[in-house]
Amino acid sequence: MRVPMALQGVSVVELAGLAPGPFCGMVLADFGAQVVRVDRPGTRGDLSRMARGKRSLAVDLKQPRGAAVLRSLCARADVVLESFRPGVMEKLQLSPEILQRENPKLIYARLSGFGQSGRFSRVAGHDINYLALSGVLSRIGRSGEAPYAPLNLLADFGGGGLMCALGILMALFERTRSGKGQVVDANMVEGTAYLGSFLWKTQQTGLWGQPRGQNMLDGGAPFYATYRTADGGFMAVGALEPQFYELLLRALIADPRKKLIWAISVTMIGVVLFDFAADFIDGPIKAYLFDVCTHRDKERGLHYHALFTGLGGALGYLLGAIDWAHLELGRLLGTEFQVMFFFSSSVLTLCFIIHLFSIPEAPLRDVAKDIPPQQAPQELALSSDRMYEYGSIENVKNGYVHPELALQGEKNKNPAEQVKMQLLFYYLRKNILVLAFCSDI
Amino acid sequence: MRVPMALQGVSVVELAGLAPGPFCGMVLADFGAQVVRVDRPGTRGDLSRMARGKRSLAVDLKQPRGAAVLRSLCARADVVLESFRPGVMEKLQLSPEILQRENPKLIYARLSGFGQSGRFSRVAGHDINYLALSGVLSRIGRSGEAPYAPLNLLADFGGGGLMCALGILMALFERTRSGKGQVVDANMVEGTAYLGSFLWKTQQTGLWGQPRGQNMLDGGAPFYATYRTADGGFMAVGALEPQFYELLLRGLGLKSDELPSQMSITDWPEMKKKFADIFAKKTKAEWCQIFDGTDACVTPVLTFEEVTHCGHHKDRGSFIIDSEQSVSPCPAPQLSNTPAVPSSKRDPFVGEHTEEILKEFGFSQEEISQLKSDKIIESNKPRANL
Repeated sequence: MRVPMALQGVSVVELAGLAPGPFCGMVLADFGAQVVRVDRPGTRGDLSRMARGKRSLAVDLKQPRGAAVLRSLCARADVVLESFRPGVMEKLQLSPEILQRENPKLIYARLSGFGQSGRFSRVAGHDINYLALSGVLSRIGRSGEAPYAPLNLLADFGGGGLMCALGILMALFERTRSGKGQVVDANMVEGTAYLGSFLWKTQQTGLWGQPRGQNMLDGGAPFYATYRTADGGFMAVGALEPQFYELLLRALIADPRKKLIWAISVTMIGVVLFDFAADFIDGPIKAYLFDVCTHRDKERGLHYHALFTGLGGALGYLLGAIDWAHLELGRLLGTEFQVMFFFSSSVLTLCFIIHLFSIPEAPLRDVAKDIPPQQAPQELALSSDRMYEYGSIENVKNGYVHPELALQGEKNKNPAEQVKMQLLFYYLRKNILVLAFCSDI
Repeated sequence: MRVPMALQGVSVVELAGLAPGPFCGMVLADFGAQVVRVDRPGTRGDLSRMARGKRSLAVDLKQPRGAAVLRSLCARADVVLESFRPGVMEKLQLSPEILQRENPKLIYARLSGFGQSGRFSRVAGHDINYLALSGVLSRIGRSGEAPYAPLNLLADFGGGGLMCALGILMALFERTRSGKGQVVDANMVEGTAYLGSFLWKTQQTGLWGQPRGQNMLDGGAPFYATYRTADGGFMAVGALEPQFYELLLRGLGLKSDELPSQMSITDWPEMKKKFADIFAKKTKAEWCQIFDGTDACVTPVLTFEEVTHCGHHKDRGSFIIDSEQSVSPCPAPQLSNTPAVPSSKRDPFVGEHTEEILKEFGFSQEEISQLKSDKIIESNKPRANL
């Protein structure tokens, strides 16, 4: 069985009105009260669309018999809620005196703009007018502009419907003790002012020392405002306390020196990691190349590989050092770290593709078959061990190359030396980048 | 004999906080509840200055014996109201389970920003953030500008403190039937959204068909705006209905047949300029003379000074002056039989009533002295001026 709601069993007769009254009735209905909305025949219903959970009874109150119908309803109801202009209920013979005489337990809630008495009480108005008369509107709005009413939220609903609902609840609670109903005179001018008590209470604290729109909470402070983002949306900032303000600053406006050091460190780490990764790939690729390529292709492949690895690292670090925060691509990619890696990995991918295309088409299997398994260079009689004689310098100039040299291609005699030289140049290449980079600082 | 107020006999323990919680406690105090504010020793009291009618007890809740003092208080109270970050009360061993086990009639009101659960619940925030997350802020603000938060009124007070007070009243009323208390989980994001239900409910009606700031009620319409007068003041215009619009035009010295129709949205910017030019030609007082008493829906935008001296407010006693000559609004709404009589005394000092409150709640003098010497509680009774 469903749990009874807080206002279960409370019956409310709501005389149809606009916005404030219907909202009050809707709150009561949402919390379980039985709300009957009394409509005028021929009208189109609640234009403010807050009739959730209510039922509608259409009766012409201007007719005496219609008013009598309502009196019968109110004789058994807990709450009657009206938001007509002051004097209207009296004219319809439905004043609090009359209705509460028949039903002393009736809570008679009156929700007006300016109040049931006073020189403005019979005058038409809307949220903005009540807000204006309450004094609160004079505080709201940007510096240099006219005061700005925040839609119809403050007077119609905050100081109006909601405040009236509070009053009705107070009367209901009080009635459980006294057994009697009372009149709840809610008006939006006083309700809005009461809602804004904080503004009056803090007048002496310096919170409102500046003209409108130049104080901390009314649009003057940069840390209590909204800001437009790159995609046309808005972010709200409310960092009042120093420790929260610090966090805000850290996210938005970093110390430029700290930012540079961070970018550099991140990039260096990125380059090292990139090279580390490249080395992993280097090995198998080189092995593959050694197996299937001729020497010339191998060397070219190695040169290309070195070129692109180095280039990729350099490019990555350069691009990472740029301040991407202001560009859309940067926002898309994220931090400098991510930017660096994005570009480095793009270049590395390019490397791979070029590698793949630079490998000759000879099928592996056939080539592997031809090569005897043991190819220790020491077993061959390497003519490179001996000194070669070109004969004369003219031979060299004319492009004469010793056949064996052409085959081997190495200028070094010792294979171990060859490997050492290769490694030396490789690491030298890598370190040149770092050295050049360090010298840039 | 003074008539008992609506909440006479209801005792509230309010754990000190900022703005929303104190306002909620103040509303309850204004309508007769006995509100005890629990302060941390060494603090300076309610910076939001809404301690009217409350008494202050200073106790260190972080000490187990301090938390025990609070548990004793809550064992006899009707309502406990806390506005800490979610999780804090649990850490202090003062969760709803614990307090309501000792006192099943206790109404445990929790007033938070983002709610007791959810991914934002442990994050810091203020009115503007709650307003932003509710969706309501996206609707407020002039065209071409960033959204504008109307001070901290909508989330802190409307959807916060006031909504929480409503919830507490509902729980008090429900308790007269069931005999049991419950947890009132008020959070400002949901409260503000609920307060703004009208905006969601009227989405399909065409009321919000234009971009922000170009609709009828959000600054787009020339007949729902404020205008500067010749003497630097402002008048508010809210003439929505055709018959009131007609009276507005008449008061401005304009003829409706020479002007575009009221609801011609494309003409609104030009009409705004026209109205602005006309309003700028006369002073505020002159405009009041023209429009007061008419149905043109034109009223002055009163400043705080003017509000105190305004005839209408004087007629009704809408503003009260306390013992320190400060002006503040009278409590709303007015109840005919049991009207709210707000205290005119100054706000209490931190710990001003520690001893008398503890005595009321059953602590002996020895216990009080012991707690004081162990620095669990603090007593700052002002010495009498001789």
